[in-house]
Amino acid sequence: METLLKMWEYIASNPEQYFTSIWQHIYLDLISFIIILAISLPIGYFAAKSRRVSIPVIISVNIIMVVPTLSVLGLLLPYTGFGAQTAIIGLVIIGVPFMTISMMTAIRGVNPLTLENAAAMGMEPWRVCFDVELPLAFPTILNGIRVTSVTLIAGTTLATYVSAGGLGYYIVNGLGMNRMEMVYVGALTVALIAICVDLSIASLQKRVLNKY
Amino acid sequence: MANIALEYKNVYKKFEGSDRYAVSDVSLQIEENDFVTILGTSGSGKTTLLKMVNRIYELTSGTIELFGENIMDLDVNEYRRHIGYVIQQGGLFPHKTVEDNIATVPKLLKWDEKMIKERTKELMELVQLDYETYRKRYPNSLSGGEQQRVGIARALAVKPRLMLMDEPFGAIDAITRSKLQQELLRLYENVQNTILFVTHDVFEAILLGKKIIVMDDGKVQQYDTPYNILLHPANEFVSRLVRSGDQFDKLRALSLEYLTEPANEEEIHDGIRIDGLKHLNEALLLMLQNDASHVIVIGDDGNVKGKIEMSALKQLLQ
Ligand SMILES: Nc1ncnc2c1ncn2[C@@H]1O[C@H](COP(=O)(O)OP(=O)(O)OP(=O)(O)O)[C@@H](O)[C@H]1O
Ligand SMILES: [Mg+2]
Repeated sequence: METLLKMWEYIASNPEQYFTSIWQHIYLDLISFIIILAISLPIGYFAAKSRRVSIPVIISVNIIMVVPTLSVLGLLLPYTGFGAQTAIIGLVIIGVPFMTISMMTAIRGVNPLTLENAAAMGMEPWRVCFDVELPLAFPTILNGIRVTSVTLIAGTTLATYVSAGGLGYYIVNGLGMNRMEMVYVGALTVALIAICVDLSIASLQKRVLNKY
Repeated sequence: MANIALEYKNVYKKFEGSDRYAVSDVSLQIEENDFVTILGTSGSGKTTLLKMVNRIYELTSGTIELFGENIMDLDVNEYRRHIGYVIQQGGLFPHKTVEDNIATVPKLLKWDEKMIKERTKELMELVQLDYETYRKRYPNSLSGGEQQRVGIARALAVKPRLMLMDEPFGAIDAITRSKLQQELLRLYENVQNTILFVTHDVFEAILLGKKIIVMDDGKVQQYDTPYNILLHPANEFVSRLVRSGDQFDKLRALSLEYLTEPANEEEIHDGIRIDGLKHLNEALLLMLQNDASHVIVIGDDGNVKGKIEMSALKQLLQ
């Protein structure tokens, strides 16, 4: 109870900074998420279709996945400097592998007979893709989106190390100054955002799946 | 002479990486509005023969003509829209309602909405699915039999020039299958269509086919009427295949006309009468029950069409 009160006082002492941090956090997530989708969806799609693409993709994914987030940022820093750009590039590197694999799995999961049938009825290849294949893969793609977005929201707490802002500021500085209420403000807000995003994607997924 | 709907000319198919032909030197003609079944054991090339028609598989050599036109000269998406295609399962779009599934090809052909709705209604009636009950349902909420009905309705949507069916009732329980077979026959009588129907079930091939293509090892072993396939098998393989099934099933599949022969006055007078629409199994039953050596076949119009002799049945069952 006392901690809660302290947290509240802390936020009230500088609400502007609190909301700016939330906005920065979400902004970093959104931008990197859009870039991740732009990279992962096409690569994952073609990896599902051809072994010549999938083998190098799987190898690179395995390599990237073993590098911890913090060291990704450390490695980037000399090249891209402090600021949002470094955080975004880092988050993209963290998010792309999982999202790519999810996309590949989702596309591979579509019954090939259904696609063959679509073609046999005279659908052009682009129509088979957009009208049949992607809608059928969509629930599984949402799985990937769910995990990736939660990973991103958590990972963005590290953005403060490269001076890109976000809610990590409270956690890192709170730990540094040994002010637990600061740490809690940061951590709980991050958790809250993650839970909200996770639940809304889950409910979207359920709505799609209930249909068929 | 009827039009030739489909003609295979020296067709060969070898899959990449395989050293044998899946289909080898097939030449045959299928007449318009014929119901032709393709019968053979697993791996004999039935599906391959079928899928070359809508170019899901490309032929290795030879030509296939659709109403006199080489399929390689046709726009593939355009002509596919006029070929109905029904497979065993997994053919329906799980993310579309029954109504939208059926409307697939009409939509591709840009029919207007009102026309599509009317046609969908008509088709669902044809396959005995209540329009209001089923139109908004998704395929996964339907039984296997209902799904196949939707598949057939969808394939018939634009009055196709040809229907290709690959074991459409293969995964359906025996009772429902028999019902669907009867309905398909009735539908065929009503809509008149050229149908190429793959099955590995001897009974189904005889029951449905006006003609049967017997395949083995990628080659056509015999292409003939059910009666000739049963009574005059072209070779050892055909003879073994058609004797493999239940003998009584074959009688059940064959209509009386195959064995009907002219009868004299005395035979007509003495003979027990049988409705000409019945099948041979019932003729046999009638003869056994009455200890008779022949029955008299009566046509639609009430006139005598001829007789069926017990000896002819025995010959068939040998
Ligand atoms: N896509 C493919 N790639 C390589 N080989 C194939 C392919 N499809 C079929 N084959 C081969 O071609 C031959 C004929 O196969 P097909 O599917 O036409 O047989 P089928 O008569 O339809 O058998 P079933 O009753 O089991 O469906 C088989 O030896 C099969 O292994
Ligand atoms: Mg087959």
